Amino acid sequence: MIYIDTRSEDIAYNLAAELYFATEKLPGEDAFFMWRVTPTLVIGKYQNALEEIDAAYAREHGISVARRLSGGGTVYLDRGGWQFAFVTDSAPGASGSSDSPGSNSCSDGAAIEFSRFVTPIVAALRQIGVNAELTGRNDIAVGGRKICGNAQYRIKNRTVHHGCMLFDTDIDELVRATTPKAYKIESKAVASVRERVVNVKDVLPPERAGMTAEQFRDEIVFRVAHRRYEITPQDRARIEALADERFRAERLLYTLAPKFEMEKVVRTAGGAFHIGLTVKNGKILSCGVSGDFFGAPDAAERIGDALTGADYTPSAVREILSRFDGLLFRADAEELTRGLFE
Amino acid sequence: MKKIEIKMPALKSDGGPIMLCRWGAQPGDRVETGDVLFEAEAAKTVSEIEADAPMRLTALLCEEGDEVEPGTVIATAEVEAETE
Repeated sequence: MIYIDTRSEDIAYNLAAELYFATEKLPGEDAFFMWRVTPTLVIGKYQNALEEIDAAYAREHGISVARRLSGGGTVYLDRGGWQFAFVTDSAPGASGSSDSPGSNSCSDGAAIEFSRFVTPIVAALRQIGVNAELTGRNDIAVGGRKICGNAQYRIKNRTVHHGCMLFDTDIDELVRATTPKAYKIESKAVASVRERVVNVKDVLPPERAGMTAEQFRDEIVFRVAHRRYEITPQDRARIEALADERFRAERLLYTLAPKFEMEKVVRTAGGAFHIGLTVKNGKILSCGVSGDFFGAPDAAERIGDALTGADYTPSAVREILSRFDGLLFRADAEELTRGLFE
Repeated sequence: MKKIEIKMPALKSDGGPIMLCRWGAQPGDRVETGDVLFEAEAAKTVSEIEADAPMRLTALLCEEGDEVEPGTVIATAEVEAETE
């Protein structure tokens, strides 16, 4: 097991580094990562961003938002927590031909396996005196309170296993930041599960009291990996390109959720806009607008028509709504866009 | 051409439904070995499921976001018939 230190607190760069070593530069043995980031909300690959995050709260508190490639629910990360990742070959048979009658002609997808990755972390925690245990949901807990959630993605016969370890995370902020606004949304997206949590720092044995976050990382890395790999300038250039392509673009936050229908009322000084949207694959399939706002007589219909077919991203919607700024009374594109996305 | 059924694999050892998250191809598309047919999520794991043989998709029987049991036929396709 090699340890790859990304030396970065940029969520996009770190997620891209894992993808790079899973699909492009295969290190020849299993790889282990352990990194942390500035305050960030990370949603699961097939979650609906609007259902999971309070975008206004995140913006006002300087919290970044990103989408990862693994499944599961939304997590709040800060510099008090550590994200670890294993990048390995998938279990044998993960992409073998099915030999059952009426062959599937697709990879048979070996059963999802967490213990291979979580067990060494539990063992390392126990060695430093943390009474950690694996739970039924493949989380790591101490005394029934979660300290680490886990998720995976499998791509090209490789598995990337993520763990989100609370060491000294701001738990109050975690709770506030992962409580979304109540929207009326009908969707089939993956929903988050909210559980009781605790920081590792608060369950350390007395002889380890005072351990810093960096010391904690070193203790885990020492027990899981046996040598280090230093990222080269060539690696870094390619990882940055992957970060731009797969993790930094605004559209990635909004385009991966399954089809959903949403109704919102955006209240402005010029009146209320009732907006109904159907969104699929990041495109607005249909949009109906009504309300008691003041504007040109056919403004509602024209806004709905203009938004139908548009990309469902704040920048695309803002650009379209800006064409109506002169036709609406005391309501503008920025206000309506924020109302729709926050 | 030989018609085949594409089924949801048993991704979870304890059974239970699996979400079909995204189709990688549409009816009429030709898919090569190793191309992603679809992505599925179960147990907090997103798995890319690849084609094991060249094929042409003929129908999708599930929508993105549907939860289905393992073994459910989710699509049909045509592959080259094997010759003696």
